[in-house]
Amino acid sequence: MRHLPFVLCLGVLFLPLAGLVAGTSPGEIAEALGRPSTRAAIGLSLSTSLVALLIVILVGTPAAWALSRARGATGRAARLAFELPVVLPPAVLGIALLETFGRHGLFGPLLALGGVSLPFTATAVVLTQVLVGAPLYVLTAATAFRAVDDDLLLVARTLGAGPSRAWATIALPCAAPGLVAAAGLGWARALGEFGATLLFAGNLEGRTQTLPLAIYQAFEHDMGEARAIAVVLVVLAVAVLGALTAAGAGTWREA
Amino acid sequence: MKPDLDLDVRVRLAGFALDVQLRVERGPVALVGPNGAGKTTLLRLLAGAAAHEGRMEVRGRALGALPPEARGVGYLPQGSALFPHLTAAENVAYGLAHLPRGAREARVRSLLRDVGAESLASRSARGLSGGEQQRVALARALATEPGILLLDEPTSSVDIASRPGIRALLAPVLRDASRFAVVVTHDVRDLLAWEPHIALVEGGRITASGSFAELRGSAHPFLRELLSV
Repeated sequence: MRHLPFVLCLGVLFLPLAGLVAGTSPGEIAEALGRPSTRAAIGLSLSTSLVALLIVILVGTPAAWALSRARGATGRAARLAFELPVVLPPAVLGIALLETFGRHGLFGPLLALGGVSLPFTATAVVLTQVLVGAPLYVLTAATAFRAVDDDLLLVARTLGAGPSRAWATIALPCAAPGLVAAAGLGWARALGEFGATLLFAGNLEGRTQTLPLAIYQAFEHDMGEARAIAVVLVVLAVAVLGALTAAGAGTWREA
Repeated sequence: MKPDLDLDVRVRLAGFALDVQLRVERGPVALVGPNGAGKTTLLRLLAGAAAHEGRMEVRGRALGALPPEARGVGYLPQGSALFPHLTAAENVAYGLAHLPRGAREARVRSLLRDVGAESLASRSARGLSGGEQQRVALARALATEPGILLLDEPTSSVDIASRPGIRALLAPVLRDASRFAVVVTHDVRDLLAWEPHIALVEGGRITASGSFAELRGSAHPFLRELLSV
């Protein structure tokens, strides 16, 4: 009986997924996978979201560390600054990106001088994914870093390690399981990004059409195709979640 | 001869001010006092955890401007402070990265033997009991042959059965004249075993300082309670 709430929760979470999978025939999936537009969307979704994840990890990890050590009013303000984009609706972000980097946006003319136009390019897709994935990654990674005891770092320092060696050999591995989880969240958010991408990068087949946008387009004319692509996206998400869980198990805490 | 410890430090941390004047001719020094009085803060300052105003000298050597890695300090923090992702041997080897592999392994073995923890070498730090962790952490702190040893409640964070062993292990370590030791404790048995100079920390200040014999007759309620045997 005490498992009932757990089972109910799982049921609510998985019922729509079960409906999706049950309603999709293997033939539909094979047909969708045979379409060049679907394959292009898979390639674009994977490549852009993984590039975005790499950028998020490189820039976000030091930021998360700094955030985890920020105290008092500064710390609260910094945390709020990272929480704001998480609660911002994607459509707002899309408009904001256009107003900033669009042809008539704040930096549009400057970018145009250098011969760069961001909207409706794969770069715009990556930029959008970085912006939605980074705050989630930084907040989650900062929580993992906050659990690292300052005394561990002080001991490492007294044993001859400079600040960067102490950080790389103690703080980073101690927080590793949490960092892997943060990367998973950030990546999932980037892979699923839809609204802001649609507004800022458009829905150009083979160029900016990621899997969520491909579902949206197929939905307009062929529900079967939309279902099939949705199942492909689920499989991709599960595969990456599995890979990250395995990576997490490889770190010390799960060993 | 220079005094072992000459402190005149002031520091203001979030919601807490430390203002310590303390001169001790011969160590070891035991910091005693109520919880939250600033004992750990003072110990961490000696290790180089934060910047402070004033003077901090150990055996005539000014520490104040030095980063932790240049102080020649061995620090054993309160509770379980081993690097949790490493084995016992890897913890001890952390400060010996400059040694060639063979020499390093031999030194780690000898350090673990000295603290009675040889058999724990390949065990993960997380899997060790409180007493085992303290032994390994002591070996790690002694690995770099520090001139200053800082120990935060080394006996109280282990189970009661392990305390006499840790106390006896520390006695010669603390009395060793080649290094100066500061230890935080709440236990009169530690004071009897180690015969340190005792400094009472209250509200971020030193309010009494002297040998066991000198402080024993004190009318101060905390000392009277602590030193009654």
